[in-house]
Amino acid sequence: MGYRNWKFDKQLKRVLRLWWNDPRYALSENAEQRIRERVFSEVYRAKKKQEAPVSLYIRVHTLAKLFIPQNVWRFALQPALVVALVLGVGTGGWITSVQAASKSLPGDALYSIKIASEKTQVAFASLSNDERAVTGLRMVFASRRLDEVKKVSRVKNQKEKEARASVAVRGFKEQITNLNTSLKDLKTTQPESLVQVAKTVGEKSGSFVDELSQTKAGVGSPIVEHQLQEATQLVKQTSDAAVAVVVANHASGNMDVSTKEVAAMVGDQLNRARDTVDILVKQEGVGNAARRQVAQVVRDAEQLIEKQEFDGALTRVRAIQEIADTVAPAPGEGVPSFAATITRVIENVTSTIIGEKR
Amino acid sequence: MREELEEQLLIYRLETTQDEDAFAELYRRYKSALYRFILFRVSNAEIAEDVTADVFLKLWAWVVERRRITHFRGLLYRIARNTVIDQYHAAKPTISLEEAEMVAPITEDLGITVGGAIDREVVTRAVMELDSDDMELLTLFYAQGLRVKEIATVVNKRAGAVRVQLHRIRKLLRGKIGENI
Repeated sequence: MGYRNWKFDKQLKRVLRLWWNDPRYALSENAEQRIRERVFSEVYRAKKKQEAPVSLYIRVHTLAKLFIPQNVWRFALQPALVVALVLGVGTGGWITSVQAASKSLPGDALYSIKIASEKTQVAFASLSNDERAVTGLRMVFASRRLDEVKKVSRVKNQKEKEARASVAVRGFKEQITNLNTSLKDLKTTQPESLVQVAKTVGEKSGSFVDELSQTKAGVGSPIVEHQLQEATQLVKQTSDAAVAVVVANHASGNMDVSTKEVAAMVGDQLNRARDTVDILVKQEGVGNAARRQVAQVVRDAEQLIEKQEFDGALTRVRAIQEIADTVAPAPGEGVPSFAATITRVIENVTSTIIGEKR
Repeated sequence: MREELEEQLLIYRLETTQDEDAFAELYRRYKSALYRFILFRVSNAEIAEDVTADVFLKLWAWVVERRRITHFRGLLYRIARNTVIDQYHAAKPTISLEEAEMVAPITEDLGITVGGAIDREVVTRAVMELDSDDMELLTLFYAQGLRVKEIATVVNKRAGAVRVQLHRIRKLLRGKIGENI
């Protein structure tokens, strides 16, 4: 940072601190006493109720955490453990192999080493009990698989392309399935991490859906397109489960996410579902009544988000998604022209919602 | 440094034995700053008082449930921020421009040079024109003295994203204020 920037920073800090520390905004003694009485009467009462002992492991782990910076733990000690294992199970050549394997693609000789090293990383992240780190790794690996699908799509031999892409798509689905399972398991094993993990999964799912759609467009094989369509469904289910977790936890008073963040997550789900269904509804031959019904469900969802009734909004989003899924074109068929089916599905789904409202 | 170490030990006592004395000491350290943080958002002393108590009670509930505390200050301000947003829908500090300008002359009384009178006004106006997220970040970083990692916990973003946002805000302010400050 140059001198001018440093000076600017320093002076900005002074102005803001003086502004912030104005005595008019100070906590008065009376107010402080009232806060203290309220807080500590509760604290002492609550303390009497709970007396479960804390294990030695938690004590040692907590103490170690205070003196070992998180970065050191995550980026130095944890990889050190991985290296130790690698040295323990393999030979010196293993490390070189892992490095060489990092750029390999499905079907390459070193691809299995790449997958094995990823599994090792996940296993060690799991040992540290940091579910957010595990989730992060799974997302990185899922992205890698999609990247691999794109790369093997350039292979000219159609059969080889399909075989190699299938391996990558399977790997992607495996990571997404694991994320889904994590969400279920965390409810009982690590409820404190659940909302954060769900939030991360919910946010990242949107970009996976977009990536899958782009990959599908350029893959040039109906078989792989179909597999990618299945993967998209899986991502949507996981995303829906993640957002549902966030909504439910928020409704029960969990402070890990703010209302604004929940509204944004449900809003994103709504926008994605609406974008998909919009293309179908604009089909020639889809009746005006059906179009109005979809528009009404979308409006309902928007209003419910506005009113912070996220559970209801999510039900509407699912209805829109259901319409899109039921009438979505099969891979390779292009946009469907079965307007009558679209109309019928819209009527069925929206009538269910209207029934719920009553 | 010593104070930081003491605080780490207080947090250790809090996490392992739910020690009320450690909680009381942490309460003593943060009550004023937290109250001010809340007051700037809700603009009402009574509400700020209630919310401050709520935040400490939620923090205690967090401790009792044995949930992990990675950045204590970050967690405290995150609870405060979310409580204010959820209960009072006031994500943005709500101090008025007039109030802000009344405070600004204090700089002169204390003999601190921050440029001429016009500059102070320009600074105040430029800060008040920032959007809610930017203003929040700026006050957490400069006024409350939180570290980037702690702010990341408060606003639920990655530290890198907070760093980039801070850089962008500084650049924006420099553009608005010019090189006069």
